[in-house]
Amino acid sequence: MIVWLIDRLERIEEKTETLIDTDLRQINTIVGNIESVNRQIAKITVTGNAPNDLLDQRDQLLKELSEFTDFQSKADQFGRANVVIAGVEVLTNEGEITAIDQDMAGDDYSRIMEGVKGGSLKAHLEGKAYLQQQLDELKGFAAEMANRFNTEHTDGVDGGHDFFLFEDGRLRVNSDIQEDPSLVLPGGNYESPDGDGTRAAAIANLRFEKFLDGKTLEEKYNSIVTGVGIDKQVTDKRASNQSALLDQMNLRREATSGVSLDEEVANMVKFQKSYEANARVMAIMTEMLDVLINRTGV
Amino acid sequence: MRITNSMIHRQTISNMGKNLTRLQHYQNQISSGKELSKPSDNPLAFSKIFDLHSHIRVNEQFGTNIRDSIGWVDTQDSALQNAGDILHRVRDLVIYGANGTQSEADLQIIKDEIIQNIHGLKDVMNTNFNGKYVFGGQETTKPPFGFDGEDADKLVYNGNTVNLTREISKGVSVELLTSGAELVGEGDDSLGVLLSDIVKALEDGDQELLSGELLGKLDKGIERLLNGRAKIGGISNRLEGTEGRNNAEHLEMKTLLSSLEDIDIAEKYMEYSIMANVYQASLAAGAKIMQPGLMDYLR
Repeated sequence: MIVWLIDRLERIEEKTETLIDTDLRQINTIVGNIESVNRQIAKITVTGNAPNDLLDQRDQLLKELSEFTDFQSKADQFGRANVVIAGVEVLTNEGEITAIDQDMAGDDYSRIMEGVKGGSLKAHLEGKAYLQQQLDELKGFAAEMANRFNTEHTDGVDGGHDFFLFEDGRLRVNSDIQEDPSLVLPGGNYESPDGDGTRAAAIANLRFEKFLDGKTLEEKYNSIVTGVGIDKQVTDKRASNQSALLDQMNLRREATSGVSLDEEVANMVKFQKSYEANARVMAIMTEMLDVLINRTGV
Repeated sequence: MRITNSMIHRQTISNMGKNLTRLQHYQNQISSGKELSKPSDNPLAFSKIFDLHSHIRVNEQFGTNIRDSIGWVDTQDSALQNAGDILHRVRDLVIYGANGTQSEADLQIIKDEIIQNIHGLKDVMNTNFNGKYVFGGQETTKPPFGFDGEDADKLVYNGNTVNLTREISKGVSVELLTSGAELVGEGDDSLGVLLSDIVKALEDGDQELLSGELLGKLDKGIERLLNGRAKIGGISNRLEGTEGRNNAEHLEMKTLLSSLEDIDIAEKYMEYSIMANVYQASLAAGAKIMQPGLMDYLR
C-alpha cells in the first residue's frame, strides 16, 4: 500500500516536472514573439506613424504571458516593451533575449524559480514542492516503521534476517524471507518451541507504541492523511474564492466593454430615424425648389 | 451598473454550474451511502472515522484471540474430563487388585486393563485443537506425551513447562494452562512413574503397596488433575466475561462509526430534492431571461 502510494506520488511529481518544462518553453516562445513584434513597432514609430494593430498584438502577447508567470513590462519611446521576471530582465527594450533555462548566467535561473509569484509556473512549482514534502513524510514513515519492525523481529538473534528492507525509498519484504518463510521469527530465536510468540506479540504491540513523534503508527498515518485533507480543503476554498473574484472582474469588464443588444438596437433605431428625418428634409427641399423653379414666372 | 446580454448569460451559466455541483454532491452521498468520499470533504470527521476504523480492527483481532482461546480451553476441559474418568477407573482397578482374594490370573487381567488405560490416558493428553497439542507447554507441534523407550508402560512428558499466553485486550493477556507437567506432575512424583509402579506392583502381587502408598499417591494425582481442571474452568469464565465486554465494545464503536460516516437517507433525499428544485428553477428562469430583447418588440 505504502509502496504503491510512493510510486504514484513519484509519478505525479515527474508529470509536474514536465509541466514546469512546458511552462518555461511557452514563456520563452512568447518572449521571442514579443521581441519580433517590438522590432516591427519600432520600424513604424521611427517614421512617425502609430502602429495600432501591432500594439494590440503586443498587448495580447503580454496578456498570454501573464497566464504563465507574473512579470513587469515597460515600453520605451519607440513602443518596444521589455519583460522582467522576478527581477531578471529576459527581454530588454533593445531586443536582447535571455532564454530561461538552467544554462542562464549566474544564479538567474534559481532567482526566477524561487522569485516567481504567479501564473501556472508558480502553481506547478508549488505543487512540486508540496509533493516532495508529502513524499518525504511518507518515506520517513515507512522507514521508521521498517526500522522498529526489524528491531523487534531480529535484534539479538544469531543469523537473524531483517523482515523489511528499505532502499531508495522503497519498502519491501526481505527477499530471503520471501523465498524461505521459515526465516520469519515469531519466537525468541530459531530454536524456540513453536508455541513461543514473544516476538510476534511484541510486533503486534507496536501498534500501541507511540514511537513516531509521540504518535502510534496509525495515528501518524491518520495525521498525514488528515493533513493532506485539510490542505486540499483550504485550496478548494481558495480556488472558489479566486474564481468568484475572477467572475466579478469579468463582469466589471463586461459592464464597460460588453455589447448590450438593447442599447445597440435602440441606437440603430435612433440613427435610422435621424436618417429618415434627413431624407424627409431633402424631400421638402426638393419640393420647395420644384415650386420655385417650375411654377413661378413664365 | 450597465448590464449587457453576455453578462446575464455568463452569470446564469455560472450559477447553473454551481447548482449542478451541489446536486452532484448530494447524489454522490446518496449513491455511496457515506457522508464523506474523500478526506478533504471534512478532515476532522475523517480523522475520527479513521481512528474508529483502526480501533474496531484492533478490537476484532482481540475478539478472534478470545474465541480461539475459548475453543482451546473447552478442548482442554473435555480432555481433562476424559482423563479424570480414566484415572477413576484405574483407581477402581487398583482397589480391586489390592483385594487379597484375587488369583494370579485375575491380577494379570487387571494389569492388562490398567496398561490399556495408560495408553488411553496418553491419547487423551495428546489431544489437539486445530492441529496444535493443548498440553505441551509451548511445544504445540510435537505430541507431548509418549512412552519411555526402556519401559514400555511408563508415560513421559516431552513438552516444556512454559504456558501459552493470549492477548485478549489492550495490555491484558491471559495465561492458558498448557503445561502438561502441571497436570501430571514431574519426575518421580509424576503420574507416569506412579502408573508404571502400579503395574509393577501388580506383577509382583504386592497388594500391601497397592492399597497403601500407591493408592494414596493415585488419589493425590487425581486431585492434582482436578485442580488443573478447576483452573482451566476459571480461565474459561474469565474469557467468556471478556468476550461479552469485547462484543459490547464492538457494537458501541460500530454505532458511533455509523453515526459519523453513514447518511440519514430520508434527510439526504430531502436535501437532494430541494437542490433538484433549485436547479430546475434556474434552468427555467435561464430559458426565460435569455430570450427577450428589444428586437422582440420592434416591427
